[in-house]
Amino acid sequence: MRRAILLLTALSGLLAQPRSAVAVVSRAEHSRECVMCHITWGDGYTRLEKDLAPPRYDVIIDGFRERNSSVEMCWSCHDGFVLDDRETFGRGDPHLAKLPADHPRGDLPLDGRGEMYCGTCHTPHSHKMGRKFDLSPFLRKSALSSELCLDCHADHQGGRWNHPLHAPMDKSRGRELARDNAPAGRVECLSCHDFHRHEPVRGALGADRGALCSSCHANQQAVADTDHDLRRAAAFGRTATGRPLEQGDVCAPCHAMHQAPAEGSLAAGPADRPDQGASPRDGRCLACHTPSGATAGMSFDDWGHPLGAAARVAGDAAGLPLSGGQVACATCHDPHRWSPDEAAAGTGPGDEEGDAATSFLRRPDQGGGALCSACHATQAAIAASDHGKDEPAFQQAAGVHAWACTLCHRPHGTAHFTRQEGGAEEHSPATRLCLSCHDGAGDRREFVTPVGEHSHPVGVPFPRGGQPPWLHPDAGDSLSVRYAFLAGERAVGCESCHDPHRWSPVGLPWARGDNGGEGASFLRCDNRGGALCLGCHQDQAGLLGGLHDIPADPPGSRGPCAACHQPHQAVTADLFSRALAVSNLDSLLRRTDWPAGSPERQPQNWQGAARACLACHHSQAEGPAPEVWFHPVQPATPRPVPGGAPELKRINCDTCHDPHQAPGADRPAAAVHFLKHASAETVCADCHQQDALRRYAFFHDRRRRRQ
Amino acid sequence: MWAWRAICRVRSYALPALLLLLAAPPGARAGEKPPMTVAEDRIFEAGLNYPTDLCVEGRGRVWIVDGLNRRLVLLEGERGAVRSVACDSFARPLGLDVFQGRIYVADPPRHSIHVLDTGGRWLKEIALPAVCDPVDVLALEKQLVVSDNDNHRLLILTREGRLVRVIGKGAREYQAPVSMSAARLGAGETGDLVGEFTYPGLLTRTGEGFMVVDVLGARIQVFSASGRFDRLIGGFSTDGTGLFRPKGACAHQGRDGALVTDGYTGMVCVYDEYGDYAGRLEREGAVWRLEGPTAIDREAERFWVLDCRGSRAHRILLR
Repeated sequence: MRRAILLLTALSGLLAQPRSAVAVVSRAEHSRECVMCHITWGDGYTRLEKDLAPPRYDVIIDGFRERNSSVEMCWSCHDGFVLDDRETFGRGDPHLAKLPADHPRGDLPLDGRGEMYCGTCHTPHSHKMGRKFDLSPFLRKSALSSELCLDCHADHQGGRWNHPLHAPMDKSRGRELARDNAPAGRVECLSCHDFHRHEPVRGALGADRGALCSSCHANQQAVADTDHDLRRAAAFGRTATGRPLEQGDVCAPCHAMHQAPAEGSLAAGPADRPDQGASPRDGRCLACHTPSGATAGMSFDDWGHPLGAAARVAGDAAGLPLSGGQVACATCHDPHRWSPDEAAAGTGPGDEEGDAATSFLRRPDQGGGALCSACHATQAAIAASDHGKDEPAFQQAAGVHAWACTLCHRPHGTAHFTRQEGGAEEHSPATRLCLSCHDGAGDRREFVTPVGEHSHPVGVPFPRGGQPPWLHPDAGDSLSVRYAFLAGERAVGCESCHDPHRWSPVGLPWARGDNGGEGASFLRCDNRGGALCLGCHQDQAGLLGGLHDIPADPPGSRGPCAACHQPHQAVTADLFSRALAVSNLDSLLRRTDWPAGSPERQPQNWQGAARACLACHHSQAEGPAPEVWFHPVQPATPRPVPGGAPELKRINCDTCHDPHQAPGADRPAAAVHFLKHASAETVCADCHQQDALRRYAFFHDRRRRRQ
Repeated sequence: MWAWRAICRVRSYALPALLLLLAAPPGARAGEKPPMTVAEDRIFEAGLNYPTDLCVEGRGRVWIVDGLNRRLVLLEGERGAVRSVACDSFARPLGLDVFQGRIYVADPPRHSIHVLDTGGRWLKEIALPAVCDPVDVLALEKQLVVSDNDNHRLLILTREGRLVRVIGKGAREYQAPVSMSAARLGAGETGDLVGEFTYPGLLTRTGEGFMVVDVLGARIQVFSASGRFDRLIGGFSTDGTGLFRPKGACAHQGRDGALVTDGYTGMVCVYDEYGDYAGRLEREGAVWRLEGPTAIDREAERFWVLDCRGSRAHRILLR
């Protein structure tokens, strides 16, 4: 009996000696591997528990209060002697905190007090055969694909207002990030964030994300120390996320990576400008660049380049970024680079005045207008014209020494154009711009062709209240001209006939000193067939093909209208050509065989259109033109005429004739002699009664008329 | 079959157990001695941030690895004057040893052992293959012992860094020292038998050899200076009479007794000269518990205990 007791005692003593890895049976059938973490399942745990410190987290699993997955248990291996996470524990972990009541929770477990603990994201049981590798290290969901993060931070993805997630990452640019956390070459949460760091983003010192952002956006770091380095701009006040500016970095004043109010992770400025079609993205620019903003001297107002307008060139064809296919501030400007010149990209701080080579422009706009012509390619033709960079007269007239689109245009407003000195208040802005040089005033006369005293009227309504067919929006013509119409400025202006950017609508070559013709002269369309004039003056279209469609010599050198008229520098208000009798009447009358002292020899008796008729219809004229005669000046009895002609005060050529008339189906007989009315309806009978027919028939016959 | 195996298993333990029972002097069983108490506890913080290992050099000098700060800390004199030895070559060192005027520092991220003199001057670096995870190093008379944590083995090297022997599962002894590259070490495996490890950690010098903390094996293995297994100390337990996460160990009683720190329970367990559990350090009637102790070393009559999670060092006097 005694020996049996001794043996039993020995055995019990042996089993109490845990000399090797003997499996310890827990409260159920769990193995030692389980108890390595689930200490509460171990034999005799209750005797140990009274001597243990209470765990930080109240972990409850299957209704039992557990100690695994709490910081103390994890640390017991992750102190470096199984796995080294000293940095994780040593710097504190922002994720080990109580979750705000209104914070999205996803389906990850929290502890009994609603706090996140290690087991919220990690569980050793995820590391099973067949599970995806990216569940390492023991994660409940994949972190490499951001699935784990998005469980609680679902609002940090999607839309245009978050930094793109899952987007391909250029490994050559985001080298460090790609190597560490984006093996698939994608942008994921871990590309920028570290789970266990207090710093908001990887590699950041304090709140300065500059180093991180520059991993991929190196070019944008040129913004530092420029006028757009808003860390120095006290007036700006706060970062895009509302923090005081001094807590931010060079990116923070404008950008917020998550839940930003505007596209491009931009925070919209206080001035959202729907009146200009400006997007919230532009709003960040306009927050400062508005007349009441911090940079009043560089403001953008209602007269500026249209924002939100559909781009003329689709997509990236112009090589300039659009915002949803629309023009935005960033289309022309790169706010991160003072100059498109690589060497000068980061310069330009302080009070340095920008120009067409700097000013945060994406392309230099010197010389050839490279920036503007990216979209306004049609206007690039201006280079080879009297308005071009090779024409010093233009520069001298404009009073500048460097050519650029900005000689005439103000992309940021305050007015449509740079110069508005010409014309009258009621004239269109383009007309006033043209007349600023072409008014013939002062020294400019030396360089610029003036419109002259008698010129086509401007500011008058278009005929019949319509708009010329070549200005129809579908015709693809100049936006600025169409803009004038759409804005209700339905009046004739210089821009109605001229496109100042294009010397010839049909590609005729320009040469310095060339006065142009009706196929050039900046005309909107080729007028050698009269298309430009007849676009508005359609009642005169009967001229074509008739006797008054006088062939040009040489052929094609002018249009049909120019035989009698010239729109600028005309001699009379009726715009008759200088080449006609209108300018040398005395000389012409002396060459006639009209008797001296006859009314026909008196220049004062030839007024208005009659002077132009006289050029061809005098007594010595060659060709078939009948001789014109002077009707004595007498008061005439007013009589209405078809077409609403004004009351007759003087019997003149145009009393009976319309030189633009042509034979028509309705009155073939009258049209032969350019008569306005059939002979039976002539006004002659009003005064001459029965003798009217004879006088009417022989009015132009010198011999019979004198009988 | 299972019944026969159980019988065999009992038989294999029964005879040595019986001999042990009879040979053990009265009063050697656990709990029969009065508990060891901490009579004096002086704390040194020294700006430490999760320190992991310490080593008593002697003459009142104690070296501490302050890895997150990439430095060593030297506490000198009775008051523990602090001297910091930073080194640009450190990545995130974990273990150290001081022996014969040299400091050996294990730096896992660099897979290397740094060698400095006791003046703090960096001398050289012994590079190990990238597969190695050296968490601690111990210098012997002619050799270095490296705890290759992730590979569950010990590497015995010459002072110049040539491999002499591998201890652990798949142990191997070389006829002549070979370079590390020629040895072509691969990944190691865990093992439960004596001389095998599951995440070996800190190393401590004993009278004639060294002891290794087998962290997830939950035991201390003692080896002779030649690398021959000698004996086990402690074992896994969840009832407070053994080890759960042993982290550090040092001899304390004669040539065989040991104090072992437990990184989870925070306690320091006492093992007698027979390797038996003999209680826990207490103070003022309660268990003396730290936040997360790791290394422990002896300085004459006092002991130094490093509280890694508490980021401080304790110098204690036991009674």
